[in-house]
Amino acid sequence: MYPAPVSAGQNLYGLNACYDSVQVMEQILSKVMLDLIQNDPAVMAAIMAGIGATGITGVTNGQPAAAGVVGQVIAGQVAGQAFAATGATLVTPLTIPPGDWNIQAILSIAAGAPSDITGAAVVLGTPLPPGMTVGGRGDITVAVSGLPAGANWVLSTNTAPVNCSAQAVPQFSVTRGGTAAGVFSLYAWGRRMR
Amino acid sequence: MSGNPTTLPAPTNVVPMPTNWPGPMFNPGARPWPQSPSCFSELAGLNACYDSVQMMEQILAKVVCDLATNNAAFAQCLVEAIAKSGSNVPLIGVTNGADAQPGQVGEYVSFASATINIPTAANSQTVTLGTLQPGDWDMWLTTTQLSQVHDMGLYLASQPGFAVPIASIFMGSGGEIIQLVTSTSRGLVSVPTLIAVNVITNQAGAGSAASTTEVTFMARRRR
Repeated sequence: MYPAPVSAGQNLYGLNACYDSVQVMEQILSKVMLDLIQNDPAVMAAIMAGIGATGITGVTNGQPAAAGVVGQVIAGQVAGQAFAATGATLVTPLTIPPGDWNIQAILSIAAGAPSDITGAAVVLGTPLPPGMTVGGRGDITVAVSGLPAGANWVLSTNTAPVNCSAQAVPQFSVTRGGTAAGVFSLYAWGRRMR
Repeated sequence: MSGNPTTLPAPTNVVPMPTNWPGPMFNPGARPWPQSPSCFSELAGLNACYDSVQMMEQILAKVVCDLATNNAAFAQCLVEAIAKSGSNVPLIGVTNGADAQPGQVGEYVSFASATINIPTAANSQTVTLGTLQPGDWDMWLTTTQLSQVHDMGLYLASQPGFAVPIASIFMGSGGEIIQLVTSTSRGLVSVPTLIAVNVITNQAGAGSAASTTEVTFMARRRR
C-alpha cells in the first residue's frame, strides 16, 4: 500500500516547528555562550588565541577608519602664516579628539618667501590644554639653524604619543632665525593608536 | 454572595486573576483541584535540568575551544563580530618576534632603490621603488649617508591618500655628512600603487664631488 502523501499544510507545519526549535536552541546557546565567555577563562583564552593566530586583518578597500576607531587619521595645517615681528608665533593647526594618538608636525618654509630666514624651531606651547599629556620626550619639536638665507626647506618633528581625555587644541610655538618677517606653513597629523 | 471575586484592574506586571474562579468553594459544579506535584519531584526535575545544562556547557566549552583554536573561519567570524560590536577589546601584541602576515595589521614593507648617482651640478630624478598593496599605511623615506652634496630634497612623487606631505629638504654648504629622513604620513590606497620618489640635489650650489645614495621606502600597515 502506498504511503499517504504529505499535505502542503503538514509540510509547512513541520517547517514552522523546526524553525521554532532552532530559535529556542539559539536562545539557549546564546545564554550558554555568554556564560562561558564571561565565566570560563579557558574558553576566552582559546578565543583570544584563535584570534591571535588568525591575525588582525587590515583594510584593503581604501576606506578610512571611522572616528573613534583605531587607525583614525586627523590632520590640519596653518598655511602661509606670517612670522611675528619679534618672538614666537603661536598657531593651532590641529584639533585632537579624546584618545590615544601618535602626533607629528611638519614645518615648511617656502622658497623665496623670506629672504634671510636661516633657521626655525617648533615646540609645543605651554601650558598644554587640559587633559592632554605628551609621552616620549614630552614634546613635539624640531629645530635647525645656520641654513643659507632664502632657502626653502621642510623639517619634521619627532612623533610623540599623545593622550587626551578631552578634545584638545594645542598651540605650537614657531620661532625663526634671521630678521625678515617671512611666512611658514605648519602641518600636523595624528593616528589613533588605541 | 457571588462565586466570582470582585474584578479590579490588575497592575500591568501581575498576571490577572481568573474571573471564572475554578474552585469548588465558589462553584460546586466545577472540576476538583488538580493534584499539585510534590515538592521533591519538582526539585528533582530542576536538578536534572541543571545537570543537563552543566553537561551541555562542558561539551560546548570543548567545542568552542576546538573551533577557536583550529577553525580559521570561526576565529575570523569572532574577529569580525568583535569589530562590529564596537567593544573595546584590547588587542594583544606578539611577543615572539613573528612578522605580521601580508594583509594583516602590523605588516611591514620596505623597498630599497638601486644605487642613485648624484652629480655635482643641480639634478632632479625620479626613482621607482616598488608597488604598495592596498591598505591603510604609515609611510616614510630615508636615504643612506651622503657626504658630498650641497643640498638635497626628497619627496614621494605619488601621494596616495596623504594626510601630510612626505618630504624632507636639507640645505648645507657642500661637504656635510647627511642622512635624510622624511616625515611620516598616511597612505590610504585601494589599488596597488607604484611608489616613486623625487630626489632633488644641489639646487642651491654645487656639490663637492659626485656621489651616490640609496633611498628606502618603509611602510607599516596600521589598519
